[in-house]
Amino acid sequence: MKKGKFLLILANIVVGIAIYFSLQKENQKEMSLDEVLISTLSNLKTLEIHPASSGKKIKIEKKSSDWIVTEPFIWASNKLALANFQTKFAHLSATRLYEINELRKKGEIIEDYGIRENSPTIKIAGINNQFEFKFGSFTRNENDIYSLVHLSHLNKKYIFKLDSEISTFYNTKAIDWTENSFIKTPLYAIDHLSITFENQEVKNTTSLTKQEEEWFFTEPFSGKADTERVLLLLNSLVSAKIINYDLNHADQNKSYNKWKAKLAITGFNQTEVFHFQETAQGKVVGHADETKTKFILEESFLTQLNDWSSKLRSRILFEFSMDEIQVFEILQENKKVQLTKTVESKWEVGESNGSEMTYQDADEDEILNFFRKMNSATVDQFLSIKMVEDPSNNGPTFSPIFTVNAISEDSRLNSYLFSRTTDEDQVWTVSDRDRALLCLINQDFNRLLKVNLLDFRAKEVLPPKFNFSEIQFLNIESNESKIINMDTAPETYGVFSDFNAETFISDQYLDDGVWISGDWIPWKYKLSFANNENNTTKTSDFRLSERKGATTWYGGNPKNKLVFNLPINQIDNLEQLTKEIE
Amino acid sequence: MDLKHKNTYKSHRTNNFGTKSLFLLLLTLISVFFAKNTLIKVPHFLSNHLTNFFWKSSELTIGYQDLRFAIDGTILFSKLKVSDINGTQLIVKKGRLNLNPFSFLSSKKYLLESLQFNNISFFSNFTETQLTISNLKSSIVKNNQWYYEIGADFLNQSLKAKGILSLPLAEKEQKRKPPSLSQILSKISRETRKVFHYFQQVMVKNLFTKVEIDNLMTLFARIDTKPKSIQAAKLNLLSSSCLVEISNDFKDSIGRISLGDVSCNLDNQLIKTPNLLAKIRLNDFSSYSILLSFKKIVCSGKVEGILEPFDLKIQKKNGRSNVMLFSSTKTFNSSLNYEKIAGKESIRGFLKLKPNAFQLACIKNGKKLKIFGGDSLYVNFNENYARSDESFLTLFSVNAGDFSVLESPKGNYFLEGELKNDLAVEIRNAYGMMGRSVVSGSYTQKWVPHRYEFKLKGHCYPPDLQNWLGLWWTNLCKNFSFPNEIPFGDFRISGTWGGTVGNSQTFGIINAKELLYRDFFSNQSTIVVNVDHNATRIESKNISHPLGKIESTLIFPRKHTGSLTFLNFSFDGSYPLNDARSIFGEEFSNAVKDINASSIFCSAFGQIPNPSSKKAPDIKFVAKLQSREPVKVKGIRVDNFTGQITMDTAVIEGAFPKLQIAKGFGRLNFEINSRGSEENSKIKFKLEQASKNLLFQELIHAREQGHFDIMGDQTEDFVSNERDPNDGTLSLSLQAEGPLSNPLQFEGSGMFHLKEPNIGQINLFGKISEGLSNLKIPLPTGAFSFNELIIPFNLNNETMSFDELKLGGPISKITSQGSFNLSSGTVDLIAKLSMVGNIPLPLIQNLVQFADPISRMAEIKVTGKIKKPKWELLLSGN
Repeated sequence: MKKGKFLLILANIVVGIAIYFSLQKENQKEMSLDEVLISTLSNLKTLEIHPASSGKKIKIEKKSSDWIVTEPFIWASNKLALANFQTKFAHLSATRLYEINELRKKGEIIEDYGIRENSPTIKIAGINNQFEFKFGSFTRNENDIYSLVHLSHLNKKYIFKLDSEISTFYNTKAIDWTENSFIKTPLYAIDHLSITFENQEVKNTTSLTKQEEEWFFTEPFSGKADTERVLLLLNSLVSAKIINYDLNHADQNKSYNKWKAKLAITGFNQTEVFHFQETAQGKVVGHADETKTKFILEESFLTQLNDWSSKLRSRILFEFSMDEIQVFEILQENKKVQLTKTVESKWEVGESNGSEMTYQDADEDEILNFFRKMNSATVDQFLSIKMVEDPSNNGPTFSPIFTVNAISEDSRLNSYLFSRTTDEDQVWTVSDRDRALLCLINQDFNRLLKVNLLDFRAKEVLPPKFNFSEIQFLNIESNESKIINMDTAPETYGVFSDFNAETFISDQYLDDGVWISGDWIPWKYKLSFANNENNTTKTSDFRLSERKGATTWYGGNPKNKLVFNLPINQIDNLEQLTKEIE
Repeated sequence: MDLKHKNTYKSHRTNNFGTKSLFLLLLTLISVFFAKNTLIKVPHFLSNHLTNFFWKSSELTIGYQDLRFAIDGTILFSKLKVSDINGTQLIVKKGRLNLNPFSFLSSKKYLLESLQFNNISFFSNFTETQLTISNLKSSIVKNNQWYYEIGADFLNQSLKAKGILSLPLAEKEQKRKPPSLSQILSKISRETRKVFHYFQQVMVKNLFTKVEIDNLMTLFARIDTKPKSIQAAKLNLLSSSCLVEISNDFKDSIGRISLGDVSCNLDNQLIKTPNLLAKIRLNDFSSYSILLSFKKIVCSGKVEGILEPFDLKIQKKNGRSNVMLFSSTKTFNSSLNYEKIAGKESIRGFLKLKPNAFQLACIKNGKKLKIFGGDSLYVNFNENYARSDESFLTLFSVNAGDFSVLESPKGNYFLEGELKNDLAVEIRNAYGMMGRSVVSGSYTQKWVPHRYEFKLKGHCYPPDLQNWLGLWWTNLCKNFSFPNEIPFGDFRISGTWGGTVGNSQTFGIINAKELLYRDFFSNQSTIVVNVDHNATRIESKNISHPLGKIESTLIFPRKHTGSLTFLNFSFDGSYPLNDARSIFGEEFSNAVKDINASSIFCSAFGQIPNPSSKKAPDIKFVAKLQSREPVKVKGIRVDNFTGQITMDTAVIEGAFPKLQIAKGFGRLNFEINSRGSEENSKIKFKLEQASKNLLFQELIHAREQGHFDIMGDQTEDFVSNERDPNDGTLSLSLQAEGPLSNPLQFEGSGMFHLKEPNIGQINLFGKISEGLSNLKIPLPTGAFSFNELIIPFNLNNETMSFDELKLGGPISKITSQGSFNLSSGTVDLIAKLSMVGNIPLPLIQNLVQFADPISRMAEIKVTGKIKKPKWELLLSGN
C-alpha cells in the first residue's frame, strides 16, 4: 500500500510539474517583432547611421539622461529630431520576406535586393536588443525599399520590405540631428552677459547685468540699458542657428582673420563662454569653452555682437516726474518760463522776458502733459558715448536755441541744451550735461518748448472763492436770456459750478470780440455769475462766441483780458442753453 | 485482539481514502494537462455572480454575451457592456485576457499577462460622436514592462499608438484602489464635449508624436484626420512632429512641436506658414512658458501678402504673466513685452517698421491697396514717469514719417499718450499731416465695453480720406473741389465698437472758405454735422455765394431705424439757379433747363423716400418761390412772380397768384398728376393787359432761342414799326387739361383778347387787311382797319375752335366761326364782314346791319395754312 501511495504521489508530482512547465512554456511565447522593436525604441541607447556613399558616420548616444551626437563630432542632439525618428520607425510598415538562409534555396543572392557591403545602414540599440537595417534598392513602385534586418534577440537576418520613407533618415547629415542653437541657458534665466571684442588695434569689453528684470551696463560704463533691446539681442543669440560644423579640428588659437570675440552668458549661476572668429570665407565660426566642436554661423551673426554700447543703451533721455522735480525752467534767449513746486506741493508758473518774473498758479495736468511729451522723445542716434561724469566737463560747445534746467528735490541740477541740426524742424541735437551725452532726437522741440505762462496757468476763470447763486445767459443781439439757479435748473447749475477753461488762447481780449489765428471772432453771448450775498450783488462776467466746433467755444474775461476755450462739458451745457433761448 | 482489528480496520480505511484521493487527484491533473487549452463556457448566472463579486460598483452596470475560460489562464468574452447612471456606455465587441495561473507563486509575476480588445465603442449622451478603438493590445515584454498597441478613431481623427508602459514592482505590492470606471467615463465624456467643436476644425496629416513619462511610459503615436472630415477643417497641419516629456510625478513637462505646413482658413482668409516651432514648458502647474517661432506667414484672401518671421513668448511665473514679441528683420524690428502683475497690465518695448518693405495688401472699395507704405513707423512703450494718475503705467508714442495707410497720401504723424493698467488708451496729443490735410486731436479707447472717442480739429481735404472710407465717400467727394483753402473742421466722434447698431455719435462743425459743389460756388459756409442714434443731420445757416445766402438742413435717417424716408430737407435763401442747376441731380436739372434765372428766393422743405423700401411714400415737398429779378421761362421774360410748388403723392401743384409778363399781370395754376399710367396735367393761366409789342418781342426772343415758333419768319409783322411800348394790349386766359407728354391733346377753353390800333397789319391768318383787300370787296376806305380782336376758343383734340371770333374796327366788324388745327397748322373759318357793324349802340347797330348789304350777301372763307391762308369770298343765295 505504501508503495502504491508513494507511486501515486510521485505521479501527481510528475504530472503537476508537467502541467507547470507546459503552461510556463506557453506563457513564455516568443515576442513579436513589433514588441521587440517598440521595446528597443523605448529604451534606445544608441543610434548609428551610415549614410550612402562617402558620408560620415553619425552616432547618437544617450549619456545619463541627455542625448549627444558623438560622431562625427560631439554636440547635443536635437531631441525632437530623434523623437521624430523613433516615432516614424515605430509606425513603419514592414513586411518580412525571407530569412537570409532561404535565399540560397531560392537561387537568389543578397545583391539581387541591392544590398551590398557599403549600403547605407541604420543601427538602433536598446538595453537588451539591437536592430541593424542595411538598405538596398527600392521596389518597382518605389513605395517600399528592401532591407536586410539583423534581429539580435533571435540572432537571425531577414529580408524585409520597408516603407520607403525610411530612406529620408539615412540620407540625413549630422547637422540634422544636432541642437542647432549653441546657448543652452533659456532666455528668461540669463542675468548677465558680456562681449569682448578684439581686432588688430583694439580690445574692448561690454558687460550688462540684470537687476529686478531691468538691464544695466556695468562695463565700459554704468548706466541704464534699453531692457527690451537687450531681450531682443538675447533672443537673437539664443535663436541663432548653426548652419554647419567645422570638422577640421585645427588649433583654436590659430591667428584669426580680422577679429575675435568672447561671449559670456550667465544664468542659473552658471556661465557659458563662447569664442568667435571669422573664417577665411567670411563666415563666423565659434566654439564653446567646454567642447572642441566648432560651429559655423551666418555672417550676419556678427551684427549681434558688435556695438552693444550704442545699440543697447536706453533711448529715453528724459524721465521728468513731478514727484522728483522741484524747479523746471525753459529758457529761450531772454525768455524764461519756470515751473516751481511750492512748500505745500502745489505748482506755480512764472514767466519773464529778461525783467521781473510774474507768477500764477499752475495747472498740474498741463505740467504732466508737458512732461509726458518730453519723456516720449527717443534718441535716434548717440553722438557721444562718454557717460562717466566729469563735473568740470562743460560738454560740447554749440549755441543752444533752448535750454531746459531741471532741479530735483535734492537740489541736483541737470541741464539739457537743444540745438537744431539742419533747417528741418524735427531733427535736434540735444546735450545732456549730467550724463555728458550728445544725441540726435527727431522731435518738434520748436513747438514743444515754445511755451509761455498761459500754457501752464491754472484753469480757474472765476475769481478765487467766488460763490455764485445765479447765472444769467444772454444773447447779446436778441437780448433773449435765461436765468439758471439751483431751483430752476439744478443739473445745468451743477455743471457751471465747475466753470473752468480748457486751454488759454491769449490775453488779447477786446470788447467786441477777439482775433484768433487771423480770424475775427465776435462775442455773441454774455454769461454772468452773480453772487447775492450780504444784500449786494457781485457779478463775474464773461463773453462767449458762438460755438465754433465740436470742441471749440471761445470765452473771454473782460477783467483780466484772458481768452480761453471751454471744456467739453461746458460746451454741451451751453449748447443746451442756446437751444432754449433761440 | 479486538483492538488490533479495529486499528487495522481504521488504518486500512485511512489508507484506502488517501490512495483514492491521490488517484482522483492524479486523474484530475491528467485531465488538466490534456484539457488545459480547452475553453469552457461559463453559464450566465454564474458569470454575473462572479462579476458582481469581483467588481462591486453601484454606479455601473456590466453585462456581456459570452464568457469562456481555459485552465491555462485564457479568458474570452464578447459584447461586454459597461454603462453608468448617466447613460454613458462602453461596449467591447470581443476581448481576450491571458492570466498567469502561477502568478501567486512569485511576487515578480503579474496575474494579467496580456489582453486584447477589439472594437471598443464609447457612447455619451453629451456628444454626438463616439470614440472607437478598433484594437487595443497589450502584453508583458519584460519583467516590468508592458507593450501596448492602440488603433482608435476619435473626433474625426485616426490614432495609431504603440509604446511601452513600465509598472515598477513596488507598485504591484501596494494595494491601490482602482480608479472608478464611472468617473473615467464621465471625464472622457466631459472632455470630449469641450474639445469636440475644436477637433472638428482641425485637419492633421502625418502628425508623429512621442510622449515620454519618466521611467513610466513611452508612447509613439501617429495621428491623421479621416478623409471625409478634411474639407470642413479650418486648421490644417501637415507633416508635423511632437515630443512631450513629462516628469514621473506629473509636475513638470516639456513639449516640443514642429508643425510643417500650417494653414488656417477663416472666412475668405487663408493664412499659411511653412514651419512653426513651439516649445512649451510647464512647471508645477503654477508656471509655464511657451515659445512660438513663426517663419514667414503668407496671407491670401481679404488680406494678401507676407509677414516676416517673429517669435512669440508667453510665460507665467510667480504671479507675473508676460507675452513677448521679438522680430529682427529688415522690415520689422520689434521687442514688445506685455506684462500683467496683480491684475495690472503694462507694455514696454518698441516696434520699428519699414512700411515700404511691408508686403501686405487688402481689398477695399474694389481695389487692392497696400496696407502700409512710406519711410518709417516707430512705436515706443516706456515707463510713465508723469502719470495722469497711478493707473496709467505706460507712456507710448507713435512717430510715422512719410507714412501711408491704404495708399492714402503720405504724411507725418505723431501720437503721444498713456495706457492704463487695463490697457485702456488715452492719446492726449495726436498730430497728422497727410496730403493736403493737417489735423490734430485726441483719442480715447476703453475696453469692455469698447468705448471710443475721437476729438479732431484741423484742415481736412476730403479726397485724402477716400481710401479709408467706403465708396460712398469717394462718390461724395468727387462732386466737391476746394480752389484755395481746405475746410477747417472740429469734430467729436464717439461710440462703442461692436456695440448696438447706431450707437456712434458725431458732432462737428466745418468752416469752409471757397468750395465748389458740382457747378455751385460758395465763397464761405459753416456746416454743422450731427449724427446720433436716429439720423445724420447736416445743417448750415450760412452758405454764402456771390448772389446771396442759403440756409439748409439735410436729415438722413439712419439705416437701422428702417425709416421709409431717405432724406428730409429744408432750404431757405437765395438760390442761384443758373450757377447751381445740377446740385439737386439730373432730374431737377432737366426740369429747370428752360428756366433762366440768376437767383430766386426759395423756401422749401420736403422728404425723399427710401428707394430700397417698397412701402416708402412718394416724394413730398413744398417750395415757395419769389423772384429777385426777372427770369426767363422758355425764353419768355417774367418780371415778377410769387408762388408755390408742392408735390405730394405724385401730384405736383403749382400756384403763382402773381406774375408779371410784358407789363401784364397774370396768375398761373397748374397740376401735374403722375398717379395714373400717364401723366395728366391741368393748367389755368391768365394774363391781362400785357403789352402786345413787348410780349411779341419776348416770343421772338424765345423763338431765336429755339423755344416757341408761332410767328414764322415774318416776325416784324407782329411788332409795330414804331415800337411803342404802349401800343396794344393783350390778354389771355386759358384753362386746359391734358397729357403732358402730348400738349396737343389738351382740352379746355380760353379767351384771347387783343387791342391794337392796327390789327390788320398783324400777321394773323396771314395779314388780315391784305387778305380782305385781295377779295376786291367794294368797301370804303378804312373798312379794313381793325383795333380789337376777341377770340373765345375751345381746345379739343388738337383743334382750337371758336364760334364767335370778333375782329372789330371803327367801321367794320368781322365775326367768324371756325377752327384752327394746332397739329397741321391749318385754319378753316367762315367770317362775316359787317360794315359799320361795330357801333356799340344796339339799335343803331341793328339798323346799320340792315343797311349793310355786304354782310347779307357774302361770307369770307379763310382756309389753309395759318401763316398764309387762302381768302375767298362766298356769295349767299340772297
